[in-house]
Amino acid sequence: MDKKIYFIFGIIFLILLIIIISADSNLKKEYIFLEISYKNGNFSLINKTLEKGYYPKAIIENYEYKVNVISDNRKVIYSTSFDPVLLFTDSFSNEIIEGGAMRLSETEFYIILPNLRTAEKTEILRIGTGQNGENEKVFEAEIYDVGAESCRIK
Amino acid sequence: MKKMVIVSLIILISIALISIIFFFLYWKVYQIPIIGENCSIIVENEGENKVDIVFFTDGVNKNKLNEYANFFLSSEPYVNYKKKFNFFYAGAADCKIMGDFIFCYSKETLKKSSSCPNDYIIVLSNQSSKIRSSSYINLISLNINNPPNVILHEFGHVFANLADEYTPSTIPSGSKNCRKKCSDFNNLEDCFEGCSKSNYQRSSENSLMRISNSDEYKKLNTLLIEERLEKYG
Repeated sequence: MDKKIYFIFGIIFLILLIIIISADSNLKKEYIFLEISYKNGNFSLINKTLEKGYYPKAIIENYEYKVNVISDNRKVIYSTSFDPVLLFTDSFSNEIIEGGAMRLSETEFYIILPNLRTAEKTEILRIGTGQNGENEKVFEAEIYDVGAESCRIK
Repeated sequence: MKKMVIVSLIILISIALISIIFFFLYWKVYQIPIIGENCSIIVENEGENKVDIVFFTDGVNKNKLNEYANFFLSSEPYVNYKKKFNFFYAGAADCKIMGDFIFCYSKETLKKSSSCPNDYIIVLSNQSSKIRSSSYINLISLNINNPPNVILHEFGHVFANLADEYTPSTIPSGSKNCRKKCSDFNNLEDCFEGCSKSNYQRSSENSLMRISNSDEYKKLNTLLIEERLEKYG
């Protein structure tokens, strides 16, 4: 009889624990916000912070650049694609639109990444511009240490 | 002793049951916990993996938000995929005039957008009609005194990586609507010279990626947008 009661207590405790954890994880959506500067083909990190809120879904398109998040066992655990060097402006004053896209030689842009538990670092690859047409790594930054709550030690 | 165990068991079971009922009834509320303070819903569809668009305003009345969302959702091909889109509003944003175009991309706006589910950001700004709209990464800076179909043109850039079909412009890497040869279109449509570059080809004479008085993407661009939309729920 006692064993049965302990078993039921255990099950109830587990259910309550799962509910609390799920609710808590939903309330604690976090993302990593990277501020990056670009000048004549060179990327450099300005700042990295941990923020609360929603982050955009990954884009699986063939844009000029790809951002990967690499885990502590060197696997790509998140990937998205973008082009921070291209800016479109369009004038609708005449029948044929005017303006055009321009390639920026200098800009400051932001990368938003989900805060993944096993994330070690992030990298930006330029698609197909390596010596043999492979992707060329143009930027790398550690992200395991972003945010005050991190307890991972290198 | 046994009585006490039974009473505490009943209390615990009741708490568990109430928690479970509360959890399932308000599951949706739990899923979008941050919507509230700085985020209001304009159009929301049930389910996950939607195209989440966040509006900001810069000197624009909030009633413009519904106007733009309705115009967007009543335009081809989005009218056939209405359920794949959510629209939110996250407050005011500051835009800059950079020569002859408007630019609203900033750290503050991006961080503010995180109060809503956000894949694409559209800032509606009230500027002189001569000021051009622009798009950069996933953010569209839209001058409300430009024609309303500018939103379709700019969304074509940020969502489906469509290139301008007028000349001169720059073809984005991986873009599929401007091709070197007519045969690259697989006889899908016609073939016309001039697509961002004068020696590149476009598959329709006058799509909204080329002319200002069209509301149609035309066949190839529509297919490319639909291809992207297929990835959403």
